[in-house]
Amino acid sequence: MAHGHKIELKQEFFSGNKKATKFSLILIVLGLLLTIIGIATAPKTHPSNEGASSEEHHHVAADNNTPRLNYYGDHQVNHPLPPPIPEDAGAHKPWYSRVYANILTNSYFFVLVSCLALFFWALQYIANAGWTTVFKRVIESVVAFLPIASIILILILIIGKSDLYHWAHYEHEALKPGEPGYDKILSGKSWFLNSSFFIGGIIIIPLVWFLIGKKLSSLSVREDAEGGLTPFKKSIRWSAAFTVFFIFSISVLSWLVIMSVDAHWYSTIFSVYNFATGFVAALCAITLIVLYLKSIGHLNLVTDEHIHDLGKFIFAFSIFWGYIWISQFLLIWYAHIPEEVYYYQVRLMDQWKPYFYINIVINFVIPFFVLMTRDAKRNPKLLGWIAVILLFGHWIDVYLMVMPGTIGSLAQFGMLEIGMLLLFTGTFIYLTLLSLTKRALVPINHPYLEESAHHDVGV
Amino acid sequence: MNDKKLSLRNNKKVLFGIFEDGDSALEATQTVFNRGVNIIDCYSPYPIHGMEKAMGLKRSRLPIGAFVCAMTGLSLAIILQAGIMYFDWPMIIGGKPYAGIPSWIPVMFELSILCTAFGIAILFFARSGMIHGKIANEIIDPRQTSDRIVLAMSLDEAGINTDELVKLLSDKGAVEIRQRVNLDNNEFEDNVIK
Amino acid sequence: MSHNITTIRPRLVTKDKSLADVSNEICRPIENKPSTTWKIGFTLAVIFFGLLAFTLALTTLVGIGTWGLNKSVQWGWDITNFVWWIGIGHAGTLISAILLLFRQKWRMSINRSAEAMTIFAVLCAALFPLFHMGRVWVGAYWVFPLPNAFGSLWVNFNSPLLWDVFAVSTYFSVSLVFWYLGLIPDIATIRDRATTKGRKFWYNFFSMGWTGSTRTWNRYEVVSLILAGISTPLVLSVHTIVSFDFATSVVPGWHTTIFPPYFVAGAIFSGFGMVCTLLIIARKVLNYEDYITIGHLEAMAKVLMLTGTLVGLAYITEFFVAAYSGVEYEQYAFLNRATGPYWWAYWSMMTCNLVAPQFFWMKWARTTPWFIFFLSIVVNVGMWFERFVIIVTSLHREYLPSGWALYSPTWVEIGIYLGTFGMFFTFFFLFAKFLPVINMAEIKTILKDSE
Repeated sequence: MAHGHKIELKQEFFSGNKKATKFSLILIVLGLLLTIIGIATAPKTHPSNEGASSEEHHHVAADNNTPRLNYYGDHQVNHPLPPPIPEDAGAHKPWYSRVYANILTNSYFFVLVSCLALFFWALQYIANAGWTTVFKRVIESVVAFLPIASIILILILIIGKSDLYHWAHYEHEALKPGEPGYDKILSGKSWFLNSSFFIGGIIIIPLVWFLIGKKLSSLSVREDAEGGLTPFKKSIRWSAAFTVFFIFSISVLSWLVIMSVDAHWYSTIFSVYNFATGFVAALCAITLIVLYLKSIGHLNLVTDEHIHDLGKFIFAFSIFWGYIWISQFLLIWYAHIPEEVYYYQVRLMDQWKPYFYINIVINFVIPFFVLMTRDAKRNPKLLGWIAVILLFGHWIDVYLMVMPGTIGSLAQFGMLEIGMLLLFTGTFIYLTLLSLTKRALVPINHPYLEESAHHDVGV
Repeated sequence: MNDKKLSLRNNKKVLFGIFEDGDSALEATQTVFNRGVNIIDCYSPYPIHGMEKAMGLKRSRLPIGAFVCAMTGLSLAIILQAGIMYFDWPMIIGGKPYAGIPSWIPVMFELSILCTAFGIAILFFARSGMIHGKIANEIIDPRQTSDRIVLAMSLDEAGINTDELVKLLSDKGAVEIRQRVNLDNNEFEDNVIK
Repeated sequence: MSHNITTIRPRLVTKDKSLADVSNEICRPIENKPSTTWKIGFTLAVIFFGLLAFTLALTTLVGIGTWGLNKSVQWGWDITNFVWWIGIGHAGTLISAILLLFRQKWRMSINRSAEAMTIFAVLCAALFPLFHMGRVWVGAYWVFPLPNAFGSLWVNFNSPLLWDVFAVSTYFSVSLVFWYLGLIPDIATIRDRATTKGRKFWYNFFSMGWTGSTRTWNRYEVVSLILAGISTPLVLSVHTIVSFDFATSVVPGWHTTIFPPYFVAGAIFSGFGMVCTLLIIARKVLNYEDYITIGHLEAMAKVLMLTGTLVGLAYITEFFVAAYSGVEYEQYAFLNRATGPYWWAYWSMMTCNLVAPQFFWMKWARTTPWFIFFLSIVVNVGMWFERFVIIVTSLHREYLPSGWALYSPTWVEIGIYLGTFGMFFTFFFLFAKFLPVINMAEIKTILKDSE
């Protein structure tokens, strides 16, 4: 890395890799197989109501032995406190809502990964950052999964709305004040939590992201073909517009899709939390693909220095995630207001307890201690494994946000869950690699390319 | 390392090459180092990027010290809070358990940072032999902290003769070259060669 | 690396400066007699510092009764000013630490004065809770983990106010270490240029025998990086813990989970506001336009725009979630902010913090110094109102109407606030006279950048 040392900026192409394609196809087939077996063997009756068909129980209160109660709704005000056990969200749900909830978890997770990759891309432009230029195409390829993941998300939300969301089911019942089961809080939220707003939101928001992503991508194509500074300057403008729209829209999307899962609960930091989860996952996905391409002899301009900085980003944003996590937990734990504390109470009970701790250990403790040293961040193998673990950890995070409030005791971690995750992961890898073959790997006319190639982190 | 051997005092004859800009000083250092000359040190008004590599210096091990300090601070915070809130005088405050771990986190964090910052600063000063009021006796040229870069080389075991070294340095852009001879009674004599 | 910076980047230091030019120009105010501007400014600052001493003495001798606090509003201007000053004290470490980690080189011209500002602002901030305790002479040791009156009870580690003591004192001392470490090479430069006996002695004393040896530089850079690394979460933690003072309570409008990141964004916002205010004056008065270029100002304007928008996002989130929560107390607290007796504070906050920075979307606004200066003042005002809104409007209406009361400050409180400006600027003027306002050693590494 001596001064003035010339690095030849050579164009590279990725024409696909048989092994990787095979790997992704195996994942898809295996995932599909496991999903089908999982669906076939899933218990078709509710665990607490053995022998009765779930349809009949749709509107009948669960007769569990444990007294479960709900803080909300006029009919339950007189229950003795504490220690109340929050109502089981899965008590009246049909068995296939577990399939829906799984599709929701996975599609939302991959929407987060790809839209935050797009955000990272835009961030490079507005921050005038140069160092990422050598692997810019990788960032672009991660965004390629956005439309597919969004369409799946939109479809599952439209189809499974009433089975997943308490409020949607409640809206469907259309109760009047005074009727049994009338819930003042949920009725009070109908200005936001209603089907038309919900469906409109989940369609429009990803659509706008997709369109701006498409614009940035076409500017990138133009830059490759024509050169010059015009595409670069235009990209900065579009990135600024995207960033502003994004920080508002990701909040709305996280409220609509995930916070409304626990419809009575609310937390103002929730959107920031979703952002943090998605951002770490997106960084890990980008890092993994960079490391993979490098291991098969591509991306020759990417050096240890770039890997080191990616490692720093993962390290820093894992700490950021931990910070946001503790902010939410500590404040809710400390104030101990029943409406809020209920969220963590559920997650610290029964089957959810292990996930609660796994979430913190994987997403904060492991990256914090492992990636602390400089050597760890410059070790591709170690960093790759950490990225895999973190991707799984943030998937668990989303899983833990979705499951207790949608299907509660119906949830299990079985073949269905694993299969669905493999299926989505396989598709993600397949499409990402496919999109990488469509473009040159080096943005050869990017004004920061040379600077990026000479990137050196110093001490 | 052989820090001790490679100091201005412990060498009988020392050659100084004085440069005006960092790039030529760096180039000279690389060349001289590759020729096997013992480089005592290079004094510069700002950190020259790549100079430590050119001189063959290893990366500092101070980060290990920082980690130890951080863990000390963390343990201190845990002992302090557990000792006070759990062992010495447990009280229920605001319905929180005696060992309300989440509310200990802020102080655990702050004390870790405090110990790390002070620890690393003290370690740095100790390792570099810096202390308040110390007279800087390695000032070869008063402009070395402003706009000159001074490269100091030992002539005791140089695998290259002095004339050749002087020529090499002036080719690389040295604006001044001096030779120092250390005398017995902590005194020295400087001669300007160029 | 310096040769490979892309040509379209503007130069960080304009007008080909040599190493000697940098030393000469930045040491000039230290080596010459103080200018008239400096003398006038310093005298004014000292007068206000005197006002601070007077009002604080009055508060101590007579008591907190000299302030306008009442049965409901027990935190008024004092805590508003505390949070405001602490917030301003965030930009320094932010610029040096986070921008160092992100390798934003434009930080190098401004980090020294921003760090100095941090330290002085935190000192100003610390005065408020200290004097709010009433009896400062005992308050000074009450806050530490000592048994009470050396008996058997201890401080309460469940209390966010105690966390704050740890956070603010850690932040102050770590910032001081970071600042001093950064100063050492520059102090050595002044030492070796010194012509008078006094200067030779003092700068030698504080330079700790610095010679500029590469071995030391090698360690120095590692230590700077570690300090930057730990300062980054530290900055976040300080305002987070300040926000916990409010958010751990069950007061409507205070207890909201977004407070930690929202306070941090607000602190960065107000800190950058103050940095702009100070540096736009300093670059003019000291003739540092080649070091603090329009490019620097533009970058800061962009940060203001971004953080202003983030703060605005937090306002909107809070408002939305209060409406969404279905909790009538929350809903009332926010409606009362916007339409209650303190509506003017709320709308000043909204205008100054969310709307005003949007002007920076225009290139003209980002590159016109007087306009940035004007908006930076607006931002400072807006961020003061934000704290006022959070503190006073949430307190002045209790759950019971019998606990409703309005609050207005007395002249003593106003005097203390104005007085802290005196203290702040007194220190800042002294700093500008005796220490280099720009980090010479760092600037020297980027003289050739983007050629």
